[in-house]
Amino acid sequence: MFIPYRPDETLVRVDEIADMLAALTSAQCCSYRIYNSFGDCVKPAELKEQIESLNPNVRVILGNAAVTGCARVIDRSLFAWEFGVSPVGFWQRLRTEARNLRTTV
Amino acid sequence: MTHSVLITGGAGFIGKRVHAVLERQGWSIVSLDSEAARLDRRCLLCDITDARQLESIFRAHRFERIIHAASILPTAAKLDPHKATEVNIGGRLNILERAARFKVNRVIYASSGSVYGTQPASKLSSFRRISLPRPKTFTEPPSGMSKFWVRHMCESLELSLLPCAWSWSSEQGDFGHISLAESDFRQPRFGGITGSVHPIPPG
Repeated sequence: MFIPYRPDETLVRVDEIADMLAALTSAQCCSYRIYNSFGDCVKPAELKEQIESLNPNVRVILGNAAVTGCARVIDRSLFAWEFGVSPVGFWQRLRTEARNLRTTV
Repeated sequence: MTHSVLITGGAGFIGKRVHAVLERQGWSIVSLDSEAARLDRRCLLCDITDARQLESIFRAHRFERIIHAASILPTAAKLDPHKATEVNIGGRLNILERAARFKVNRVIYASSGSVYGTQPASKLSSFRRISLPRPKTFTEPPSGMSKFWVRHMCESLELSLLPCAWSWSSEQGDFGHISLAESDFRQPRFGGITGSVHPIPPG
């Protein structure tokens, strides 16, 4: 598996951003006008480690690409509080997906 | 009654995912994208720098919301800063002007940490007010600057707009300090929006 980014870059899962934008779209009103993104910051190095620990048969190779304009720190508590959502968390989601994959294969 | 939303950058990473979510929720969606629309049948082929085409789309629909995700991203912007400026500033102005004129209730703009410039996160704590990012060269993408510009443009448009709210998905920083940096901007200016200076949840 190849992840093109440098080990210390920061990535954000796009589905959580999409869910957030949808929630802001559907809300009758929004109490604030600026929200931090609703998602986890993930380092490619951590991602590699987690994936390889979940499946020792997988070898993750990281690239050298830089990420631009991406989050370095996220505090999603405002959005979570206003919209009453509690994030699953990236790592939890990854573990669950891996478990589901193992049971279906 | 079906609610209607316009998504710009509809064939992009964020656009197509948010399209899928809103479709499941029953929204009537018009997705726009430029070249990428050729690969995604759900999108109308439209470059947001084309004011005439945008005008006809806005006339044909009554949008309640806009998710503005169309953008030339930094890597591509470095290769073609002229195009990036056209889309990230001119195109955004086209969208904002029409949002104002056609009385769209809410524009949701997915910004990024670029708006704060290139300072490392650890230095953000000293930011009391946001300063305009300064490009190192002419070819450095005007990405952060264009986001900053959109912010000011929204603010000035809102002075003449009722009620046009917009949400900004900013992804960076020590939250408390960012709220201070943003505090002036966050002041409520019109009815229907209950803004707050310090967006720190209770408890």
